[in-house]
Amino acid sequence: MANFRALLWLNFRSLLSTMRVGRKKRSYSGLGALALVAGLSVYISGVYSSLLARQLAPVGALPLLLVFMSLVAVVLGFFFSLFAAQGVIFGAKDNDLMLSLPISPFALMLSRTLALYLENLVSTVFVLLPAGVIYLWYGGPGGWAVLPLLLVSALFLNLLPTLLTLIIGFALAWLSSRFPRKTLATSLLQLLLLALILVGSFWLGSSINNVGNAVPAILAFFQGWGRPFLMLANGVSDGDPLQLLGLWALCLIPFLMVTWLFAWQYKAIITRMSTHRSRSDYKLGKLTAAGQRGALLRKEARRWIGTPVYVFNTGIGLLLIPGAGVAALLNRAAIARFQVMAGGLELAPLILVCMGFCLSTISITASSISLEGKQIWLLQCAPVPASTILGIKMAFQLLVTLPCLLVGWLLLSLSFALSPAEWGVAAGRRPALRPAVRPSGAVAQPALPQAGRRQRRGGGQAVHGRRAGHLPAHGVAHSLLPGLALSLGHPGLPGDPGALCRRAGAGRQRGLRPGAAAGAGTLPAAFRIVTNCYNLGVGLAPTPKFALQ
Amino acid sequence: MLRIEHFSKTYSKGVKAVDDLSLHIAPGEIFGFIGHNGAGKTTTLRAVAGVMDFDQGTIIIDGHDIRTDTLAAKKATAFLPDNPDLYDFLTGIQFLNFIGDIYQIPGDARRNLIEKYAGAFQLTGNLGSPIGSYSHGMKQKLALISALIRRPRLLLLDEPFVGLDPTAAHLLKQFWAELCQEGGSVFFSTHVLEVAEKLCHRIAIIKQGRLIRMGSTAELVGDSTLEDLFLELEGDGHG
Repeated sequence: MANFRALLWLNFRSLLSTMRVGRKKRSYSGLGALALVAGLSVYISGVYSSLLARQLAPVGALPLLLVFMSLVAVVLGFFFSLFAAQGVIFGAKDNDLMLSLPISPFALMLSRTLALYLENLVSTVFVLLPAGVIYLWYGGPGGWAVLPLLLVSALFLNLLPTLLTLIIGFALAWLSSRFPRKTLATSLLQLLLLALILVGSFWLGSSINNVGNAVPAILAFFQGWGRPFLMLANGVSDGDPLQLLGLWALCLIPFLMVTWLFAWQYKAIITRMSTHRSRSDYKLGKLTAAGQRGALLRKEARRWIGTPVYVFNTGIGLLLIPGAGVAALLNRAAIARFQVMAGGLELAPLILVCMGFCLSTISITASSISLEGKQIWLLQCAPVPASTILGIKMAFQLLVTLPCLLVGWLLLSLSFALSPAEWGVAAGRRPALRPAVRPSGAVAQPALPQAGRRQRRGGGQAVHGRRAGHLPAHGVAHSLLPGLALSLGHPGLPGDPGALCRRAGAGRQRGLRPGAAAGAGTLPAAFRIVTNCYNLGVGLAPTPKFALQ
Repeated sequence: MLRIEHFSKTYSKGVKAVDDLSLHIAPGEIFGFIGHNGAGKTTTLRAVAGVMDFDQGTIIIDGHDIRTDTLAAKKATAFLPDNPDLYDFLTGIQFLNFIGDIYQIPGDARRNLIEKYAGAFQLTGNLGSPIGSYSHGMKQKLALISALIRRPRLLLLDEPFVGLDPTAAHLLKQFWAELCQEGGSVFFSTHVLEVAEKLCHRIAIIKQGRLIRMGSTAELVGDSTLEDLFLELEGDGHG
C-alpha cells in the first residue's frame, strides 16, 4: 500500500509537472496551473450557472441547473485531461524505469489513472460547488444538504471524464504509434475537437436564453444517455438515496471494468506502443540546394505543422479570425438587426479590437524560441547571424497570420458592409486606446520578474531574443484591456459588445493546455490575462540561450 | 588550425570551469582532450564552437576569431555535443538538407557526400523516417553524417564514441584520418583512454579547469599507458 501511495504521488507530481511554466519550481508552477484550472472552472460554472438559474427558476425547473452543470463538469474534465491521458498513461517516458521496478503493471496503470482522476477532480469539484451555491441562492429545493451531497457525488461523477479520457487517450496513443503522419493526424483531431467545443459553446450561448421554454424537450433529451446527470440532480435535490446510489454505481462500475481491462493488459499495450516503426527503404534521389533563409523557414514550418500542441496553442486565433468572418457572413441579417437595436453601433472599432485580441493569441515566434530547447546548439553553432534566425521566426508568423487576417478582414468587411474609410477611421482611433495599454503592460511586467532577470543576465547578445519575446507582449498589451472591456461588456462601450464579440466568434482564447483550451468555452478576461502571461513566460524563458554569436 | 590563448570561463557564483587554458592544434592533427567529469572539457569545446560565451582569452579557428569573426569561424567548424539532440519533427534527409542549406553545400556535392557517409554508416534506408523514430545510435550516426558533409576544417566532438557500434566507431576513425589528410583537424574529448592513445597525435589532460599535461602521445605515454599516466596525474594533486 505504501508503494502504491508513493507511485500515486509520483504520477500526480508528474502530471503537475507537465503543466509547469519554465524549468524551475516545477511543483510550484504545477500547483499554480491547477489553481488556474480551479479558477477557470469556478468562472465558467459561475457564469453559466447564473445565466441558467435566471431562466430555470421562474419555471420551477432549477434542478435542471445541476443536470447541465454536471454535464459541463464532465466535459471540462474530459478536455482538461485528454492529452495528459495520452502522454502520462500510455506514452510516459519513464515506462522502462517503472516496469523494471518490482511493481506490477496493474498497480502502475492504476496509480497513473488515479493521478489523472485527482487532476480531474479539481475541475469537477470547482464546477459543481459554485453551481450548488447558485442553485441554493435561487431557492433550489434540498436545503444546505445539497452541497455535501454534491461533493460526494463529484467524487463519483469525476470517474466519468477519467474513464472517457482513458479510452480516447488510448485511441490517440494507439493512432500515434501506428500511422506515419501521426502528428498531422493528431493536429487535425485536436482542431476537430476544438471546433466541436466552439460549436457547442456557440450553441449553448445562443440557446441559453430559451432554456426556460424548452424544459420538457431537455428532460426528454437527458432521459437516454444523460441518465446519470438526471440521477445526480434528482438525488441531490430530493435527497433520494436510491438515485444517488444508482448514480454512484453507474459511474463506478464501468470505470472499474475498463481500468481493470487496461491494467490487465497494460504491459502489452505500452510495449506495442513504444515499438518504433521506422522505414528502411529510402532511396537517395536528386538533392537541390536552397538558401539559409529558405532552410530556416522550412524548418519553422515543419516544426509548427509537426508539433500538434504548438499548432493548437498558437493556431486558435488563426482559425477564429476567418471563422468569425464566415460566421458574420452567415448571420449578416441578425447582426444588422442587432446593429439597429443598438442604435447604429459603430462596428469597425469593435471588430478591430476583437481582431487585435485574436492576433495577440498567435504567439508563434515566442513559442518557437522556447521550442528550440535542447536543439538550440544546432543554431548556436550554425554560421547564421542571430538576427536572421529571429527574423525568419517572425517572418514565419507573419506568413501564417497575414493570409488569415486578410481573409477574415475581407469577410468581415463584406458582412458588415464596412468601407475602407470606416476601417481607416477606426484604425485612426487607436491612440485613444493607449491610456489603457500602458496599465496593461504594468500588469504584465510584474508577473514576469524571472523572465526579466534572465534577460538581463543574457546581456547584450540576447537583445534579439528579447525583442522577439516582446512581440507577443506588445500584442497582449495592445489588446488586453480593450479585450477585457469587450468581454465584460464595459459600460463605456455602446450596446452589448460582449454579445457581439461572442457572436463574431472572437471571444475565444487558448488555454493552458490543448484540453484546457478546448474546454474553455467563453473564457474570462482574467483567464486571458493569466494565460497570456503564461504563454509569454514560456516564450521569454529561454531567450538568454539565444547568444548565438 | 585552432589557437586557444589564455581561455577562462567562470560560471555563476564564481565557479571557475576553465582557468587560463592555452593550446594550439596544427592542421592534419587529431587532438585528444582528457579529464575527469567536470574538468572543463565540454566548456572548452562549446566555447570553441561558438555555442558559449567566455570571460577571457582568444580562440582563433583557421585564422578567424570566434568572437569577432564569428560566422567565418563557425563555417570552418562542425561541432557535435556529447548527446546531440536533433529535430525530431524532421526526417533524416530533411535534417541533412537543412544542414546542407545552412552551410551552403551545393546540391550535387551534397548528394555525393550524403551518399558516401550515410552509405558507410548504413543509414541511407532510414533517411526517409522521422528522426523521432530513430534509436540513440542512429541519431548519433545522423549527427556525425551532418558534421562530416560540411567538410569542416576543424571537427569538434564531445565524447563521439558514446552510443556508436564498433563498425561505426571504426568508420569514424577512418573518416577522421581522411579529414586530416586533407588538412583538417579533429579536436575531441573522450573518457576512452585506449582510443585516445591509439588515435591522437597529441593529447591534453585537464584537471579542475587547468591544463596539467600536454604533448605528443608518444612523448606523454612513454613506456607506460595513457591510463597509468592519467591515474597518476589524477592522484598526485596536480592543479
